[in-house]
Amino acid sequence: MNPIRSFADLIPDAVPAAESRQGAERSIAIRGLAAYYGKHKAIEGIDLDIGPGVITAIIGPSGCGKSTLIRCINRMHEVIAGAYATGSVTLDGTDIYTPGSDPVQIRRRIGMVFQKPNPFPTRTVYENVIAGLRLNLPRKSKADYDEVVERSLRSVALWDEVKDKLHDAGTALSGGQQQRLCIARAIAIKPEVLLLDEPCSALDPTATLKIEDLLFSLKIDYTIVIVTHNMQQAARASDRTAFLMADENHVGHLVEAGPTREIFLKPKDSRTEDYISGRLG
Amino acid sequence: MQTRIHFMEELARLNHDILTMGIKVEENLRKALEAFKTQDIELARDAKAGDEVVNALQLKIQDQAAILIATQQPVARDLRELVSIFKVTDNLERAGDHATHLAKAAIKLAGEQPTRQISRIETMVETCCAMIRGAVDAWINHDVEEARKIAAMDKEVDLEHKALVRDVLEFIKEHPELADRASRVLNNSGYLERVGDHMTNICEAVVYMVEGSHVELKD
Amino acid sequence: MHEQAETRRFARRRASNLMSLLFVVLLASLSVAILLVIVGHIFANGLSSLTLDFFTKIPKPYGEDGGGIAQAIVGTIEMLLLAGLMAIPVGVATAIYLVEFGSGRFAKTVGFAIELLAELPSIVVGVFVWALLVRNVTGYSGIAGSTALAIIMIPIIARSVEEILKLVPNGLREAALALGTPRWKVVLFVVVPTVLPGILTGIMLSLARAAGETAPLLLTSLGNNFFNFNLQKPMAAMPLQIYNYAVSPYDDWHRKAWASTLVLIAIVAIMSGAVKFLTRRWKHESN
Repeated sequence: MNPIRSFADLIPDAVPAAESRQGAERSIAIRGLAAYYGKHKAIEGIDLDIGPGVITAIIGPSGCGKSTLIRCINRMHEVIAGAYATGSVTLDGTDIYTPGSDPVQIRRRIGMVFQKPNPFPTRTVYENVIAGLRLNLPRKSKADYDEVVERSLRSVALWDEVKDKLHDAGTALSGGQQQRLCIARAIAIKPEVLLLDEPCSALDPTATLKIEDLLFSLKIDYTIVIVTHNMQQAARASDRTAFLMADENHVGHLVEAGPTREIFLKPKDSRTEDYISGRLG
Repeated sequence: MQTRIHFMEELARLNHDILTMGIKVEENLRKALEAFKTQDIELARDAKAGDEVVNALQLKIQDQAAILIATQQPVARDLRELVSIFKVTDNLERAGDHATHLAKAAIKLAGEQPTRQISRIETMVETCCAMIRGAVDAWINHDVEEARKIAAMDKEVDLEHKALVRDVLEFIKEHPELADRASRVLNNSGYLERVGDHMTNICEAVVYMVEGSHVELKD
Repeated sequence: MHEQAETRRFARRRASNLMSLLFVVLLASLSVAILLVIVGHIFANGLSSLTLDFFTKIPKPYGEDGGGIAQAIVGTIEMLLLAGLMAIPVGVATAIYLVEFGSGRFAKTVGFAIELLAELPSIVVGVFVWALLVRNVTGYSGIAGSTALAIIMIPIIARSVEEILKLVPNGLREAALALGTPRWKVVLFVVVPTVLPGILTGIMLSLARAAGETAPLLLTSLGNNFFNFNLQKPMAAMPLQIYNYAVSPYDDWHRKAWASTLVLIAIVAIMSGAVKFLTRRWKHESN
């Protein structure tokens, strides 16, 4: 008889390593990251590990640089004129900021979904899903595309809702459906990582919960990072949480990162506690 | 499409743990009784050790419920369920303690002549076990009817306890030199009577979870 | 007492509201009235000369009645096509550069140049092409005329396409970039298709504007009273024909000037109608 005594013994991590695909792959290590818009520094000194098979939430008050941080992970930050980043972001051991690495290739491995659902308005539901394949990969057969469309739409739980409107405009769907379509479009090219920048802020509560359920089912196959200004969402839908806050110079720093249950039950830093209990920002 | 599948799964997992806890309490109670009857010290120790598991489960369930309240923003019945889980697990844990008391008494009384009241104790343990099983079932199935039925069984335990007290007092009058031993039997009966009360509390929690109202199911 | 004052003030406010509304509606109707008078006048004077001959024959010698403006219709169409061929790629490319890629000093210079080009009076364009092309290289010719028209069209196309491209939500570009799409593909396969109807409208706008230009053609394509399909020779055009007929002393030619005006307006109207029809169908299909 070996009695179980402590909380830690009893509750395994949200997803045991064995459950996730290919163990240590698809993990991200951020070291000494700083990001700038021209002369303005938005974030600084960010060290963060993002594990595979779990959902990592980035939370913090407005202007803390959480969107900037997530956009640095697939080099979308530098798309804005004058913006650049320093430090390193390593995916499976390779620094994506190594001179000579191609941001276009990196973005194929690290997909992104944005705040506002943005299906391509001139494309149908079907064409939206395969947009990434059609734009950037060698042409495939109709049957292959059909298969990708069905698989992607099924994995975002949209197939049953749209299988009869595959050839309607993607923009004809409801907001929540459009956002799931955008997630389907992002995973159709089989990235390793899926970044979501406030994906539910334009959606109603029911659509929001559907997206959260969906992320829960996707985390086995993708490393998921979600930025949210809704800390309840971070609490509900993530396994790990990182809390960012801007200092008096409006530069965002990482205050605390850890398992979501610990952040929300017994945060280490008093600023985290103030923020999640609504006493700050 | 049903939403919050993850939350529903977590709740189901919690209730699964409550079921395990109930089974463990019942198992310990039966082991204690068996040890009492057969004067098997090993079995009594086993029952005592089993209570460690019950206690650990209580902490695990309550920690997990706190996490769910902190992270999942439950409302309405979900919230009543999570809040009531503390009451349910507290009461189960107390029932487990009483099983341990019975086991300890079995160890102490081992080697002495078996009490004549064992059959009444046996009946009480039977009823208590039925109540534990029924209360946990009612909780897991959100079954108010079942809860009321189980709570009503407490009366049987009480009657049996009263009858036993009468018998024991009679016995002490006849054999004052054995009063010390007889009082232990009284204690044991008292523990079992308390188990019935704890299960009644769980049944009240079931009604609160389902209907949102506080009821008194004791007569 | 107080309530009475309140009611009076309310009545006054209503009266002044009504007055200002009346004033605005009146002025707005004036612009409609002007258009109606012009169109009505053109129809009244030009309709009688619209015969089959008018579209199929070339002008008769001075003083003779009859004949048509066939050579001018051909010239206008031919020169517009060539001008479009020159101006559309330059204009569209300039706009794409400015919106999608341009930042820094060179982009500012390009934007400023387009701005200036748009302000240039058309006669100045005519003089410029005359001095550079007509005098030294081509002589009076359709090519020179087309070049002048193209120079007028470029800033119109560039500016309208620029405005339209700016309307494309940045989210679409980011969505495409985030799929690992190179920038040029984002522009070509995502941004441009999204606003293609708008781009076509901008192009049509510039063609309509060029179709009505007279001054630069006077100095470049000169005009021609005979059929000529050869762009290297002087070429007739409808505005030129209208100008020549209008300044002539003959009543028949005056009537023909009105009729030509009518045809020119009709061509422009048909062109913009066709674009609307095509873009609507294109939109419908993409839905």
